[in-house]
Amino acid sequence: MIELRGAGVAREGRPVLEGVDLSVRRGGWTTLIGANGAGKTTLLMAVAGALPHSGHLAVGGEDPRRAPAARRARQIAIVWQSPLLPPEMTVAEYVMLGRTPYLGMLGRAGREDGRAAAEAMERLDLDPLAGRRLGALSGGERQRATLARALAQEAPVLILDEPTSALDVGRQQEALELVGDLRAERGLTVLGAMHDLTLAGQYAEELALLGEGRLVRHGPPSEVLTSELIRAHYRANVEVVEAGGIPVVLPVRRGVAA
Amino acid sequence: MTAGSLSWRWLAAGVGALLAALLAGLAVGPAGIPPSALFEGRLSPLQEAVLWELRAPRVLLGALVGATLATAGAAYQAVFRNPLADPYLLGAAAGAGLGATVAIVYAGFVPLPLAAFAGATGAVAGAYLLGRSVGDGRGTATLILAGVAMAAFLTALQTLLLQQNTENVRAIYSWLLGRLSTSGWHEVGLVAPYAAVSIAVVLAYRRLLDVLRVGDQEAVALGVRVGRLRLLVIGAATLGTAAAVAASGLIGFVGIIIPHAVRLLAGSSFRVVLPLSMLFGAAFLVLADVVARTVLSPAELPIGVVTACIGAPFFVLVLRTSREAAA
Repeated sequence: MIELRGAGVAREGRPVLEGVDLSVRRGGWTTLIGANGAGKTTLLMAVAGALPHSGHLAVGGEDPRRAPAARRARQIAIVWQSPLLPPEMTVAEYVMLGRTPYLGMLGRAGREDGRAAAEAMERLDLDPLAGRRLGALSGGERQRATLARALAQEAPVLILDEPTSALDVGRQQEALELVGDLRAERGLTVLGAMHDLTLAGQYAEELALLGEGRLVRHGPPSEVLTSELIRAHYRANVEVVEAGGIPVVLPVRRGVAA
Repeated sequence: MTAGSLSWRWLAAGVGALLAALLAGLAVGPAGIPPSALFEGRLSPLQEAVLWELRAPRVLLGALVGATLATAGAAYQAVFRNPLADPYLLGAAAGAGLGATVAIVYAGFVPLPLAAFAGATGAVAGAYLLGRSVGDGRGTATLILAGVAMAAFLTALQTLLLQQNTENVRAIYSWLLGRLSTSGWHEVGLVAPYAAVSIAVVLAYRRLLDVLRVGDQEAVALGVRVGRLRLLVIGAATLGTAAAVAASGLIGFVGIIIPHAVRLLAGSSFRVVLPLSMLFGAAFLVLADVVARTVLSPAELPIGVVTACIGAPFFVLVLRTSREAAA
């Protein structure tokens, strides 16, 4: 579904990533990891068509930079890391914005748009909050509102940039469970970026570690989350232990034996 | 009813306010014409002449200019995502001021409305091109800064011209303060087509302007061609503003105060703000003109003075009541 071969991305004329080979199967979930500045968001932006790229990059068989804007938006839904939520806009209005790619230049929302928005609201338990202003939402509610907006877009590809960074551990799990369920229900292809390595490994099918301007390792979590790789690319002191066959990354204070 | 759409109640209030203002504008003046006489058609030939040749065009011009400036102000606030934006943000006022000064100083060379119109559209087009050339079309901050630079430059030229032709200061100053007084049907005909196109284009894009509220990045991801939308809406709003300025001078405050009052009272969606700004902007300017020509009758106050004098306290009132309602 998402295909990169020898892809490079530059920002303001400075190359950030080069020679990236990565593919995400239809219905797959790949999460990008890597230290601050490794290029996770940059790569997501390139896949979303928001930044130019070199090499081959296709989503659903089409270069997102070449696709007309509305068609691209029907293909790829994005939840950016800190979305701008106009405080006076209501939750229902905000979710309805997800239907923009279907409205055309002057179009008004039709029955189909109302159905998709209502479904997304119901799926994320937002019905009681429909008339609430975005400025009055808690962090978890904001996260659900942005996910519902992306869901209303009914795009087969979902891009999530740090979807849980502002949430407590319980809300993080809730949000990721939800993404997992939606992926299963709707066959969504998910490409994300996360800082929490343990959570990333628990929910994603595959991880892709970025470092030094390239893709360092790509594979199932157990192959990517090794203490050597994390020590090398995060300059962190960690131990990786296993719990139920899934790697858990433990930060260890330097000079203290684990 | 879908979320954020315009309620019938507010639409009726807007239409009602406009009709009441139009009636007041026709009925009030030095030659008193009672509204009952208006309805029953019992008018003397003199009254009829006053009504159709003096008051009706003036009232209509006021409504057109008010509707255009308020809609253009709301449109600028939408595309720049900036509550302080007004129709003059990108240098339209300075450009029109320079054009009018040129027309007055070199009398007979070009008609004043044409010079003001050309100055306003030229200034905004210049600011837009300047902003794009340095900012690559990204972000609105470069565009606003280009507008500031353009306005400063044109104002300096105008000051220079004025300083060399001090005998024209009075005429130019009275134009700068705005007036609807010298208008006849001719000016209504000049403004109407531009006002209609400008308002129609801005209103047609009201849904997409709502999408812009979540930011350029998100709007692009939702399939909106942000650069094109911004160019179209700025172009339409500027055309309307330039026509309004050309006919009636610089009338401040309508473009900021009306959209904000509407937003605070009726809701923040541009599907509500834009149409209601048009209706209440028209009503507001017609009433302001009634005040302008009655307070010191038979002398007239500049309408720009009236819009600010009524507008500022009214806005504080709206701000206070909406804060209390929210608390």
